[in-house]
Amino acid sequence: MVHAFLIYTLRAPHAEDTGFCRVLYSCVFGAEKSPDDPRPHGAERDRLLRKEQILAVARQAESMCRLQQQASGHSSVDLPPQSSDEPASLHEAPHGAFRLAAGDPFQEPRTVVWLGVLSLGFALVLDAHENLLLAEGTLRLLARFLFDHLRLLAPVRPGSGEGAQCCLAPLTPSSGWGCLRGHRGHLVSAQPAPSSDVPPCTG
Amino acid sequence: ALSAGSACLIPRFREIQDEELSRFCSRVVKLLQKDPGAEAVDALRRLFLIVSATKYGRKLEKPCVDLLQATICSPACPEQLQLLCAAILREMAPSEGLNLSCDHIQKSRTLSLAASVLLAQGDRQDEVRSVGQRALHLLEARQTEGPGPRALLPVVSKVVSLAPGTLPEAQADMLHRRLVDWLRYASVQQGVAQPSRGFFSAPRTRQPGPVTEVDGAVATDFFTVLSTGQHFTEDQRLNVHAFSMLRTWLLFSGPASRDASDADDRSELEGSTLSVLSATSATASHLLPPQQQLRAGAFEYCQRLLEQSTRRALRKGDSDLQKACLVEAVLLLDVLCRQEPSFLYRALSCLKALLGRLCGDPAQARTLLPIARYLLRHGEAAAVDSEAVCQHLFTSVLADLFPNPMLAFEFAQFCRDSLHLFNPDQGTFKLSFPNLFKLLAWHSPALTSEFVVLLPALVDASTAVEMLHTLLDLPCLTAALGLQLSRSSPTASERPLWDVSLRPTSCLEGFRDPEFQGLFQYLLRSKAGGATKRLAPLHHLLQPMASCARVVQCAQAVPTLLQVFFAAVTQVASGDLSAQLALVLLERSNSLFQVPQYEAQVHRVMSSQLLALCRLRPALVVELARDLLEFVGTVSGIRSRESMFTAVVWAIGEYLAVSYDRRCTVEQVNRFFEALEALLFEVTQSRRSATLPPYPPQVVTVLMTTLTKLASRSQDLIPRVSLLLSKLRALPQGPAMGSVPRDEDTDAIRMRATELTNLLKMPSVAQFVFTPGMEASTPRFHRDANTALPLALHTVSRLVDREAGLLPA
Repeated sequence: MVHAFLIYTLRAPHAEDTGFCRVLYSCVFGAEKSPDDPRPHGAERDRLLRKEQILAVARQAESMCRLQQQASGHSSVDLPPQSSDEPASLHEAPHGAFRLAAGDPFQEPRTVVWLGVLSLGFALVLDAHENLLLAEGTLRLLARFLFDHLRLLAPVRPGSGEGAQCCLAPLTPSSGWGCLRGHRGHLVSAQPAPSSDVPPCTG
Repeated sequence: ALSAGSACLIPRFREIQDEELSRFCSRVVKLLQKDPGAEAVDALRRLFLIVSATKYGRKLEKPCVDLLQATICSPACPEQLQLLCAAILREMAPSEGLNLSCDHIQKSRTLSLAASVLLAQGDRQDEVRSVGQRALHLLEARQTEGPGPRALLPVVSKVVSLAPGTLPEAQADMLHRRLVDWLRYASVQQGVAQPSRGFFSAPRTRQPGPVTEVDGAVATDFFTVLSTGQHFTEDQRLNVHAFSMLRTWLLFSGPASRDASDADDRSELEGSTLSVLSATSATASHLLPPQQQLRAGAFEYCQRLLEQSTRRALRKGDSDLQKACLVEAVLLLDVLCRQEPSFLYRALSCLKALLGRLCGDPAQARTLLPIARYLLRHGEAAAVDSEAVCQHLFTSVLADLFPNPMLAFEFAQFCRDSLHLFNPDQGTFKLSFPNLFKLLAWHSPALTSEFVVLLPALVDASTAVEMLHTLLDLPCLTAALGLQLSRSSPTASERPLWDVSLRPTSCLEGFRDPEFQGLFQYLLRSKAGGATKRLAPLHHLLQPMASCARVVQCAQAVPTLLQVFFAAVTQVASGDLSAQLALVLLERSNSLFQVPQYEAQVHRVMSSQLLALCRLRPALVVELARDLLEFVGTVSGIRSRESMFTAVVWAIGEYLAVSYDRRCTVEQVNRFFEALEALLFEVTQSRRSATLPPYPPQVVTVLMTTLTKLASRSQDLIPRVSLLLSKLRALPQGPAMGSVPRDEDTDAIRMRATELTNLLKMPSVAQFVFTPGMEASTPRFHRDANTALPLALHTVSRLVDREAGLLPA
């Protein structure tokens, strides 16, 4: 089961200090049970904690990606020019998985699957024993969807987060299979327009 | 680039002041009330960005929040607006002022949106249970038309995973039955194209054909997620959604199955209906309780998926999907067989039939891991097969496929989850550490934490020495693996495996050179062999690769792993093994792959672990007397491995005593004394030299202290050490170092010399202080004021301080 999905920025693999890793979009599918906190502003603190959790995942995934890029000898120079609307092939994009121990930062142990495409990182936070082949396929598909529908590399306009929302809506958290299947339906379909599975997205 | 663009947008949204936000909220309210059109969409998008741009809470006006909630539940509102409202409320979650309730929602689509907001609240007011009950209520209402149930299934599966076993049994039974229907009886005819879109596709009169298999053949049996068609019907979509939630539902829906997915507790197994079920299929199981009907249906679905996964897919995407389905089917079979052991026999025969094909296909390696785990978990019945699969995994899969990051992670996770299942007699797991370390050497950032857990289970007294060498050579292994890869795939251009700027040609030639072949084969071996080889020639050969990022990353992981290794090995080490390990530390401190920073970091761990070994077995110092003397015999070694040197000298002073080992003789003490005395002389001589940098004061003081300790045990030596100390007390200031006005190092040395001289003036006190006996380390001696120790310490510190204070300031 998917716990969260996030999109974050990637820094160039060899640049030491060019800003922070930022979470551009995150969606948590069903929060962990809040601690019983009798103090005032408990909800506010809780929200802060969740945001920090997501940021912690993003940072870790970002550094995993950077380390992998460095290790395989890629430098930022190797990246293709970013004028194209879509990365050449998601199958060659750096990707990987790592584990989050219980309590660090989530209550339960989790597995994170990540994918780095040009300057963007995508990650799914999963239950510890999820089907990673499925998760990996789903993540690629999400990334592909988002690139297709939002033209993510085009100049940014307000609303891209909401666009992600529209795209994600049919891919509800647990319907990984529906998502893979639905998409295959499109590929097979002779019609160029998306079927009713994906509401038109204006983001 | 997007990152830069949006990164500079974020601060702008953060800067919006409360007052401005409040005005904006009023505008949103007006827009939503008046005309929920494009302008409202734009305003809501902005509001979403304002709320999500900061981790701190933003206060939205209550009328605005109320209206957002009302919009979600309003049947007339456009879906896009509802999505945005839900996204804003989710971004604010958990929020105290929320009064959204799902109790009266009638449309499943609306409930799905409201649930996303409610489940984000952290279950403060029992939201999870109420959402679950409402979803099941709507499902009971049997709106079979439209996308009704389809929107609800993800909600239900999320609810059961957040709060397992909380659904009322009657409602759970209802869903059990409906899931069976969806899974097993979806239509096998393709859906009709939707006429709504486009001009050209509208008038299609051709009848849709039957669904097909991934290889293009007409479907031979019921519809599954692996069936293909141009368009899907609603019940086919439901079939896929039901399959999506199946594992979660089976695990968490019943009150009996509250265990986590990997718990191996067999106490909850229900064996009551075994004989009945083993002969029953879902089609003939209508008399069974609903939960068992579902299990039988799920079992058949899995069997069908296993069969479908053997077909040759026409499209790459389908073949990926087949693998993912195969994994899911095996994970499901595992759950099912734990819940109904009667499935075991049939499941095993299905899986065995697959194994031959899967083992021969490297592309299927990842699907083997869950199968191996299934076979291991279901024990005796599958012992032979599990051993064969594990052999295959630990040898050829690891050796050939280690560069794949996902496989590497899954493999480590498989080992970690199966630790308690590996058969200790067969030793496949423990003996495969050289192959497992390839994963670590290649993917150290992602896998170090996994191996911190795995390593203690891999440590075995019979292979500990080999493992220690392998760990110390891990960066070397990384380099060798890189060479192996670039040799085996000369067309590296399609996927660069190595830093292209490096061009390690000399290394590649060396890799082919027969002279080094034996060493490379040893380094890249797949199984532990017991023997060890010295890899110093390879260190030299591979030196050009030592600065590669991957090698450096691996080197950074080694100190942590060494610590974990020693923590584990000291649990199993005999005296003999401890001595061997100590010898390896002494020897290897001088023979490490020269990666930047590596030596210094490893030396730090080595020295502390050497001391720890001696603390555990003080007799080591006597047993290894010859090797230790040899180690300290050369002054040249001090500079390159100072921390090791300090640890060895300290260990000599601490543990070379009759009280620790009766075999310790006066001659031995004298021999050490003489060796260290000569060394101290050389070291202090070099301090006078203006050309060489002085040895650090730690080296001088540890030598002094050890000499004094030895003298306190063999009192004939006291005059000699006193003379030495008096010379050191008069040590002249070192050469002036730049702007530093005083030479603090020399002060420290003089201070220590004075303290030691004072102690030696009272030999009985000195002996007590320097050789306190083992009981002094027990807590009682420090806590109990009636023992002699606190008193003695007090006396000693007075004695030492008195004259230390007389030193020139």
